[in-house]
Amino acid sequence: MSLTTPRASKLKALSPPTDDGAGTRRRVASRASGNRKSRRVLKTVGIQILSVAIFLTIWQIAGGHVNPILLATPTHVWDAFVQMSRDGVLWPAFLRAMEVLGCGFGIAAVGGIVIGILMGRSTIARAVLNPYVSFFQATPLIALTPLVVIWTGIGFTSEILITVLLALWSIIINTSEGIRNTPANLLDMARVYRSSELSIVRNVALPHAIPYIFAGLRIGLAKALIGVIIGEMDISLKGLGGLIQNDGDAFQTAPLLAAIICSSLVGVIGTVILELLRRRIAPWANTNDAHRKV
Amino acid sequence: MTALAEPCISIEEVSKSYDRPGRHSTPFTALAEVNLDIADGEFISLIGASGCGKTTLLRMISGLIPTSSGRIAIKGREVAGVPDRIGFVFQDPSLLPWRTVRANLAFALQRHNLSAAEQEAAINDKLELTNLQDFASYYPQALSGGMQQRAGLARALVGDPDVLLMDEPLSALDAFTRRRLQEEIADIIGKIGATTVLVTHDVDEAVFFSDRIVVMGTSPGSVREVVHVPFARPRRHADLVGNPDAAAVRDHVLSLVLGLS
Repeated sequence: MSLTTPRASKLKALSPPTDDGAGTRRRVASRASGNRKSRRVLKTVGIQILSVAIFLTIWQIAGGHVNPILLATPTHVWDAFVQMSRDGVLWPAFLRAMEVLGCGFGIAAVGGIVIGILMGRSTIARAVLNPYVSFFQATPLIALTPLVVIWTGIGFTSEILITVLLALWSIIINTSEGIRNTPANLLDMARVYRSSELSIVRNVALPHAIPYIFAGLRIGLAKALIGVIIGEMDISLKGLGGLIQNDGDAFQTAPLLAAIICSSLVGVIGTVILELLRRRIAPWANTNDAHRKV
Repeated sequence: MTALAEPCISIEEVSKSYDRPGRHSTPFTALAEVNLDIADGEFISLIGASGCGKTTLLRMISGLIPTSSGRIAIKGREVAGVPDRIGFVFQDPSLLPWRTVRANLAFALQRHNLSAAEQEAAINDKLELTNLQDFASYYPQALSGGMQQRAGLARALVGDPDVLLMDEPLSALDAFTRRRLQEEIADIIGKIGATTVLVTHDVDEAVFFSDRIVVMGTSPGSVREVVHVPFARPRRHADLVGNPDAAAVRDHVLSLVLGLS
């Protein structure tokens, strides 16, 4: 994975910001290409909206010809959505899922990054921990749900534990991969200036690993959300998972779909927060910000 | 300086060998029994075909890799691990992309125990010396290859090293930028007077910079001949072009490198 696109970085390398005339020409050129780019973005966004609209229309028409227990139409789902909001069922459930996700994913992120750094920098730590990481990464971890309930009982703790267990491994693997991939020339450079191990991790390996870590966090977030919903469905029957389980048992397809859509909203919000965080802490990884002055 | 003065860098009977992977039982000798004394303030180039061990020797001087046998000492102190007061310019500029030029220089000062004001002064001084004062707050990706390498040189000099080591620092640049930067670097080194060891595969570059050129041969890597370059430093390309003495040195080194003599 590279920090900037090869083409953009080559352009920058060829044109040092020394010549004002060239700089102006470049800015004008980039504004023109910005216009072209925004038009292209507009076009793709338009096609996407159209695609979703066509899909919803077909669904609406098809749903009208099918038993509503099998498939609720979009309008039915919308009605259920409004009704559940009015009854005060949906949003508390949504917030509960956010809360479990926030706690579980937060623990997995911190733990996964710390363990990943250890495994990336120490061959001994790597040798000790690798069998477990490989095992858990390969195991369908929702199979552990009954065991987790036996250990920690029914409640918040067991749901958070499931969430952590699902999310942790991708974060560990990506972090250690990013740390281990730190270019040898940068590590040599750090040794020449007699950096301590702590300084190498803080100033060289960790910044280099940030794009890898965020890739791991995105995968971990998706897995954590599965953990949240599975936990609520299987353990507490509360929150969005509880709604999904109960509505499914009662063949209430419209509220069921409303709850599912709400749970994907949880995932979308989490992903957006992650991306904003990445831009904030790793601005050098944004091509457009490479010229930014501090 | 008298003939008895202690050399800045002394290299005695230094060899480097690596274990061969697989069934080979004999280790591979990358470098065999190099002896070389480098005086204070001297500029030495190591030149030779790839595989002659010139980069290996430079990395052993820097303490980045250990010798297999023999002894390297800088100012009388044996090199074991990276010594203090050395500067290193890498082939790839090896700047941290997430740090500005100024912060990249600060990285090289982290073990120097300077106050914030002293550090600031040291950085400003070397930025000015390398003509980068206007680019202190730029990220490396926003600079051209030549400017990145100048930042690499500024970083190597910021701790006021006794010894400057350079590993093909200009090999990635185009011919024009390279010549201009050669003159700038020669002037800078002339000002600070650091003892310098340069690894290069460019005979003209070696002649342009060096007091002595160490021509190395392969299998195993070893010193073939040490050639003196009898011109005052720092030099100008204009002075060397058309100079028959310079041409003679150049031809001699080139024929040694090519194995013609």
